[in-house]
Amino acid sequence: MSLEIRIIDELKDKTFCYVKLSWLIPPALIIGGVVAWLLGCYSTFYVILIFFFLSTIFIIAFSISLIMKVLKKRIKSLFELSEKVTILNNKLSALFNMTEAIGTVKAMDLMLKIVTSEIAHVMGVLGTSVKLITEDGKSLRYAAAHGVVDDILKNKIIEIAKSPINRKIIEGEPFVTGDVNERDMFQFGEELNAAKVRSVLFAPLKVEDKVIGILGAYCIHPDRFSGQEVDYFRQAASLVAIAIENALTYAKVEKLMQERSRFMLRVTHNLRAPLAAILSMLDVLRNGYLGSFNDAQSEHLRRIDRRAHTMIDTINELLMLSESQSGKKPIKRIKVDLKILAGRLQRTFQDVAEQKNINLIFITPENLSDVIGDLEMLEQAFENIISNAVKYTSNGGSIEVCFSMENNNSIKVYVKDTGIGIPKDGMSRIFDEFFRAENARKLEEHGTGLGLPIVKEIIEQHGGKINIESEENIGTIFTLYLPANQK
Amino acid sequence: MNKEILLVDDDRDLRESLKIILEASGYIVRQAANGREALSSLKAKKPDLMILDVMMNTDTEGFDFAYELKDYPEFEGMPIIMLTSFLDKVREDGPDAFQHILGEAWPAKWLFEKPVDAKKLLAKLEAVLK
Repeated sequence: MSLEIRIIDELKDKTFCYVKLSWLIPPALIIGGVVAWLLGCYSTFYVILIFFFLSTIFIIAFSISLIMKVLKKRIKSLFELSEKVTILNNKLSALFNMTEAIGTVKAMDLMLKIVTSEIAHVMGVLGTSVKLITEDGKSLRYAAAHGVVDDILKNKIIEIAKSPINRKIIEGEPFVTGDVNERDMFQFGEELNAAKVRSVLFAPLKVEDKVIGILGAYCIHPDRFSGQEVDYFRQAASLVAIAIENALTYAKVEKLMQERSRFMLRVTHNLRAPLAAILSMLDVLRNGYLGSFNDAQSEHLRRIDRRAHTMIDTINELLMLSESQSGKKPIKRIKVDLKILAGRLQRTFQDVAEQKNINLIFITPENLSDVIGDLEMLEQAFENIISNAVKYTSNGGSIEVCFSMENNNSIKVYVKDTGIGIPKDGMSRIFDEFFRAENARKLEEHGTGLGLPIVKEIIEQHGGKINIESEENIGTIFTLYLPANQK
Repeated sequence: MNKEILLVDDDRDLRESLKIILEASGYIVRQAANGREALSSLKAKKPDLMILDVMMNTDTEGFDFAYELKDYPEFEGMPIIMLTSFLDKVREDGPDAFQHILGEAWPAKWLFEKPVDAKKLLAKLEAVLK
């Protein structure tokens, strides 16, 4: 804007000043011509007339050339300005890419690759590098290199003790030189020289007070880096240092998570393996492969079998809950047709309900929306609730599973039974791990106490919520709300 | 003629109880405690079917062993039933992770979860070996 004002002012000052003055000539000539005509000097009058036309043409031509000159200058300035804006834009976009990579890319190698490339863009140099101090603190390893130095420096190691320059940078001071001809200064001086590098700039990668490495920029022009650029480079190095620290922390967390997961798998296997053997041996005994047992012995074997199965269920459910709570097991996000799911659930529980003479009803309206989620997990949640309802509803009772649209955004599912209900003092603990209400324990001695915590976990992971209304000896209503898939 | 089964599992108790169940159904059962023992048993005589545990010395020894058998054309077509304590996990990781074993070209198509349901196992054996 200021440039435009300046140019317009210039145009006003120069052009109009001359034009204004030069336009005084024609009126003077007209006056002269009229005087000559009145005095009867016709030859003088004609000469003045011709001179008048010539001077007018000259003045117009002069004015046009002056305007053209100023306009040309203005266009040139605008072109230069546009170039500057483009360069600035490129720098900003490189900075944005770099910041984005720092914030989003967790893998160290990829993050450094993007960062070195973008810094080269921002600085307008042909090469950049990141050296990291090794764990023993004795060396610097090139973790990333971009541009002209990519092949010559990548993965090379510098011994800090033998490099006074690097020692100085690690102490916290940037290093800049516009003449790398002094090869002895650098451990890879020959290589830099071969790549025609003339200017280098190094800044420490500092997190709080700890230097973790060095950021470098390389240019083929001598004396390339100004004081302003050194300051900018130091700031860029601070950003890169944070990014490296983040990536290192992320890698550590990833490793810990993997170790934890492997440990859980091994623990689960080691708990399950003896149980699987016990159950297999029980199978041999209970099915009479090794001879028959009397009733009391058979009953004991049945109880052992049942307890062992409860243990297996507990282990499985604990593993599931642990993986889910740690976020290790990502939930799938697919379209789940609740009408189909309801049909499957009905088939699963129909037989057992019939055996207990329970009237099991499923209600699914035609306009029921899908939900986006993990089919297996949702099925597991519904199975846990319905199997509880079947388990704790006595013969001749009823269970109603009703799906409906709460509004366009939400699906409501309630499971209403005429079972034993939940005692008042147990309501607040019903979703606690291993909690089982007293009346439930009386009716069904063995249970994992993990079924409902799993339901809650699954429903919450799907962005839903769960409510319970219950009265002892009357029944229970579990109501689930799930976000509907917006069509 | 009685069909022969090679039962590979590092758990002796589980092996022996399964052996009793299988023998009671008329199968001849040979045992191996790991992939190495299984290979020498296979080389000595090819069974009609192999029951192979997944997690033995390593987490995937059973799978790795089944995969190795692809290098032995003489065992091609031999049905393999795999046993795993982590059926869900195997299903979740697969089929891509185990495509090389569970693919159509390879006979290890069946996975049974431990503890093994003996009735289902016997039904499967009968169907495969009929």
